[in-house]
Amino acid sequence: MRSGKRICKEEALRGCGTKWKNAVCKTAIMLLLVCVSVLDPGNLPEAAAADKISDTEGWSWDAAADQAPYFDGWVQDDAGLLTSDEEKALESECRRLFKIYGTGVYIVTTPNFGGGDIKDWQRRIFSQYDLGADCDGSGVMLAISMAERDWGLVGFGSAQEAFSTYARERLGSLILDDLSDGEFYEAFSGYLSIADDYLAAAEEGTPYTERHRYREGWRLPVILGVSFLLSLGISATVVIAWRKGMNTRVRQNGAMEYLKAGSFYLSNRSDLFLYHTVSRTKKPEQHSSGGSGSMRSDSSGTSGKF
Amino acid sequence: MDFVQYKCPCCGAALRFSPGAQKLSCGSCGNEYDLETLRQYEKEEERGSGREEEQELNWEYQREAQGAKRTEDGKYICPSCGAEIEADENTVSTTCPYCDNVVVIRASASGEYEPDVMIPFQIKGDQARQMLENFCGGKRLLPKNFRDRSYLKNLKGYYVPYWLFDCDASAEMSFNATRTRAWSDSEYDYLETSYYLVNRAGGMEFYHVPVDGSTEMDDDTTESIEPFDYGALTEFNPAYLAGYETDKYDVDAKAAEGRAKERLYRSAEQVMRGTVSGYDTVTVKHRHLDAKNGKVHYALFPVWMFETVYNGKKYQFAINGQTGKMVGELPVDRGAFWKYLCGFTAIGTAICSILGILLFGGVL
Repeated sequence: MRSGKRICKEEALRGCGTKWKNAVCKTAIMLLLVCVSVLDPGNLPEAAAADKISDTEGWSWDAAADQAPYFDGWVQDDAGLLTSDEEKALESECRRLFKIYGTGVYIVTTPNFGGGDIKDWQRRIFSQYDLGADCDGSGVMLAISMAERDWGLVGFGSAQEAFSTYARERLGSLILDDLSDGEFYEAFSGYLSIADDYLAAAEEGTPYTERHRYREGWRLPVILGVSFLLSLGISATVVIAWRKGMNTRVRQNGAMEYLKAGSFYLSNRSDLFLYHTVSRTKKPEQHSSGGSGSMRSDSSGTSGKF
Repeated sequence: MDFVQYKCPCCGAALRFSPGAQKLSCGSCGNEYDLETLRQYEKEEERGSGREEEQELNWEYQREAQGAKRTEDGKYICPSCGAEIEADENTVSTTCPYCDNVVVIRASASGEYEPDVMIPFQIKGDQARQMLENFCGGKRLLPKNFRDRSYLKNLKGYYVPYWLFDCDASAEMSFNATRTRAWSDSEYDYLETSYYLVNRAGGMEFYHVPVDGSTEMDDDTTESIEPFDYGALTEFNPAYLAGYETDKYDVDAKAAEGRAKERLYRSAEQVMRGTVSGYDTVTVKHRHLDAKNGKVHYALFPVWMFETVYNGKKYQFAINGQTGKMVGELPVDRGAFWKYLCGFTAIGTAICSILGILLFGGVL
């Protein structure tokens, strides 16, 4: 759990709306900027923005008011799912992806996003914190909310090309097991690795879509294995059938051929009804949506339960 | 006054009379029964239990033996030329080396039997050899020594001794049977199961159930070449034996009757079971099988027999000398078996892999 400020609930975000609070916010911001500029001219907001890409520590935007949202770096672990080492490792990988592809790759965790569609919450966060400012609005965000057990993956700007519906659903299904098992670092590492593949393919002009599917690396051994098993099965069937044809002896089951025609008679025949039983089973309930792990996609986002 | 306590056919608990329904009801499972139903049920239960499944049957043999023409030192005399003939006690017929006459060696007088019926050969030697050659022709797993035709000379014609059993079989059987009915409403799926006690009793006649009387002949083989057409059954005549080998039985009728009874009782049960229809499940509860008026005949039936030994194991192949039905076991060359299996698998794997790679394009 990070000390300091957290991303507030939507109600809190919207709650910062009274005039006098805004005035206090603006005054505090001005004072802070004055102090910072006195200490180091290079740290003025404009300069900071220009140097963001080369800043090895990432960027931050400090809000003056207590309830104002706060976003620090590429990984925002408000739910406290990662150790600080894990978070640093993920941060540096996100930074590397940003340097190579110019796309912001974000990971956000929260204890409770307030309910509703997590994708809408993600879009609000992205716009609220202006996360695409450095990369022409291009970004992708994986968000986890622990209370609702929701996950969401949303593409923004030109990154939507790399993260098509097919690509997002595939990524979601690949990391779902780790999310469900609570292996969050593994899930997020997997997300970054797959995002790297997707962004590389998009850069080459061949993003992964329904028509251009990701080729799984395990395909050739599987083809060989299946071919071998299929051939073995068919060959064994043929050769064993040949072997069976070498022994045609069959012991007789009875003596029906020796039953004298017309000699059979029934001397007693009775069918006695005794009792009956009735059992019943409840019909299974129909569910409108699938169980855990089901995914829903819209034009730029995919979400589900873990 | 005798007190009768009826038990529930469903769960075995004691039944009580329910004045409201005027039936006997079970406090444990809730079923209700008419008194008449229970009386019939008890009667069938008593009839079915406590009886042995089978009873001993005495077979009536058809033809007693005549005396044998044997010298004191155990040699046989040709009735045609009076010469001494070499033969053992199991030989039924042989050819006199002096006058070429077919000589039938009569059984000795100590309780043995002469054949009373037979079926003469109708399939000739050439035909039988051709049939065997055709059968072996397509068999890729035969050992190499079958490549030439020399194995065909091992095909020989035999008259095989059989015991033919006639009897009247009777069967009394009871079955547990059920019928089910299913339906549904908006909340539940229902299944109603009705339980029945089914009884059948009856009889049937079996005519000439054959069991071979020779230990030399494998029972699987002699049963497999059935049936023989009894329309061609004729009185025993030694003239038919010429040119063929004939062995006397060395399994007597008493030893053979077990197999005959096993077969005809199985058929009797099958026939009874066939009269129980209209149920979803039927299981046998009791069975009682009986046979009477047993008669046994000693017969000779024609069989073309091919025998070979491969890797220390004997293989027999037979052709029904009357109908031409072929059955038997031929040896399998294990090397050929594995060669074909591995070869087909290798070729198949190569073809399927190429097709798979072309279809799915999975080469990265």
